[in-house]
Amino acid sequence: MKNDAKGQIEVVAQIGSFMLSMLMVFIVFSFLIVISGFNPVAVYQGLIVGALGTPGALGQTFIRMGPILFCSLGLAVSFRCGMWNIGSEGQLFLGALAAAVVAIYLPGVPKVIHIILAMAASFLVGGIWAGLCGFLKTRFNANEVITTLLSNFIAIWISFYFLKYYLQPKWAFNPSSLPILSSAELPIILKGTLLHGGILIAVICAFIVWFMMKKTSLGYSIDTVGANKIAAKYSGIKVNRIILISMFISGGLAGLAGMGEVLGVHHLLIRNISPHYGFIAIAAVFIARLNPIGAIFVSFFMGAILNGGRHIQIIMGIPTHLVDILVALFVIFMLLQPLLAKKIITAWFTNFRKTGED
Amino acid sequence: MVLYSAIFTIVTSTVTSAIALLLPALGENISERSGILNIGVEGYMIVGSITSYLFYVSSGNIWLGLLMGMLAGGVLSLIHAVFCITLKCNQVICGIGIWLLGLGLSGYIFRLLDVTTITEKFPPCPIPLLVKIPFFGPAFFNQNIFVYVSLALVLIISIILSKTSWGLLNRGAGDSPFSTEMAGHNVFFIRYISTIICGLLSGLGGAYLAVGILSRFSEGMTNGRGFIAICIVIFGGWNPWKILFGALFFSFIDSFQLYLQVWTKIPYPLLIMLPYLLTIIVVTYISRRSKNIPRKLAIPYIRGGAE
Repeated sequence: MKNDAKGQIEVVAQIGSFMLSMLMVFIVFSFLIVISGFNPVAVYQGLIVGALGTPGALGQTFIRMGPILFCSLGLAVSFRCGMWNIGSEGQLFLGALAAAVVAIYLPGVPKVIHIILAMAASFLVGGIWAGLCGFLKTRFNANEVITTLLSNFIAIWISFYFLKYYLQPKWAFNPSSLPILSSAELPIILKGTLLHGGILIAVICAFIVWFMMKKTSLGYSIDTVGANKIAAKYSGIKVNRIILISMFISGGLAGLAGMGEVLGVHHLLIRNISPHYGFIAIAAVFIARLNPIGAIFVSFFMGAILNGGRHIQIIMGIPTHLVDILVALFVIFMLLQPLLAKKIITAWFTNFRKTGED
Repeated sequence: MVLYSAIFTIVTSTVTSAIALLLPALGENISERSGILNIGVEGYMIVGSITSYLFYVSSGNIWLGLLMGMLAGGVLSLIHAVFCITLKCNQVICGIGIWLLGLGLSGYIFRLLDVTTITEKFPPCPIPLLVKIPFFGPAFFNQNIFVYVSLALVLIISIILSKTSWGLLNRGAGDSPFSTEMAGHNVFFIRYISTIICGLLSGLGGAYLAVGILSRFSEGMTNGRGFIAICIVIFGGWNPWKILFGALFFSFIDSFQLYLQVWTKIPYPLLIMLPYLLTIIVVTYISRRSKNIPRKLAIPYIRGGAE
């Protein structure tokens, strides 16, 4: 009975602290809008209308949600293993490159198999790229924050190199590849919008990752390594192997995000395939508190913000960078959430004790 | 003669642009020694860039621009300090947030105000006599005044860190905060000051990059320099002189690849990634036997708390 009450208080504290952090973001962000000379009510209205107002807009929101969900699932796996993989953006670019190569240069493959092959290629390439950084960590103890971060720049330029020198046809003026074969295109799942099947794959992946983390020994090992490497080592877990596997999965999922963009959205490889999806996913995964199922909802929220940001740029002339600021504020203020939760619980119990004494 | 002029160009631009790496690296050195990891150096730099550029364009005074850029970096680092020292949050995540915030803010302000003037550069300020030395004279002693100031800063910081009591406290806050507090010093205060110095120097580095080297602002112009600066600190083993060497080395690689881009047929995307690749290799190599690392780096201090 007593435990039950304590559990309830904890749930209340978690939700309350979450709301408080969100409120702080809201206040700071509104303040920023006001000092840059815009009407915050109009901005929020524009964001909501642009994100959810029409079926087309809603479809766009879902399209943007896809890559964010893929990246944040990947980040959830590596973060829970204690590896701060900041390289999703680069892994996404390489995944897109691999998917494009398979989708353009592999004719005569049946539709579903072609898509699966492209997915496998992007997962493998993204995973190996992230796994390299994991290897530098396990073998040489190189700080993964720095190696993954710098690997973004390298991956983006590698992707551009192959695009410009190999994939771009001679007659093309801008760096873009040939269109992908129709057998590799992801089907449209909602008539009247551009929403493609990638979002379904992403949601299925979310449940797979949830299952892996919750119900398998691999997931348990990843959580243990993330919580305490030394304890994990003495309980017989091969720490280095778990780190490598988690980085591989993490990079692979980010690679799938690139696959979705090429096969579903652009139908060819272009230079700027991602507007910082890999970095936005960092914010998403922290708001979701590293929970794969929570990531589904938060990614939708982030996709809505991005899509709304584009809308307010068109109708109000506000630069889309405003949305980047909002994302950064989420990352910073979500750090306060556990702190606030603890404060709420302490405050509750001190009050409780006082009233008990009276 | 062609070779001579090529080497001369590379060396001159190496020294000029090394400053944009040196200043943030020196700042990061100070804050890491006090136990605070500033992953967001890149953010301080880009905010310093946009602020200095705007103030220089509107006032015409380059020193005002540099000062304002420096202060902007300092303000952003204050946020990091509050979150990581007082509130004891995770320094890596907070740093990433600060970086994204800086990136977003700079791009937002730049797009909103839409200023694209190309500013004037610093005039070169030759040092008499020394400039007459063949080759080295014109390359090293015909730089602008800001380069000399920054080089002098290496000497000053190295003296402060190794010869004064403040340097010892700075080290103590990072190595053994509990004993530092037992000796009657305020660890939080030391860490605050160190973090803000890091922000100021990084902001100055970004400001110099915008108004001193490139004479303009463009989105994301720092291009990972902040992260390379963090690597230079590891490379230099938390020693200002080795950090100066590291900054010159990385800047040399960058100038060299720019030269190759112009004069050879090697595809330029492969050349641009060279400094990043090299940084990863160097960090990997150094990390195997890094000994000088501050023992309590990135670990929040709880007052009177357990070691």
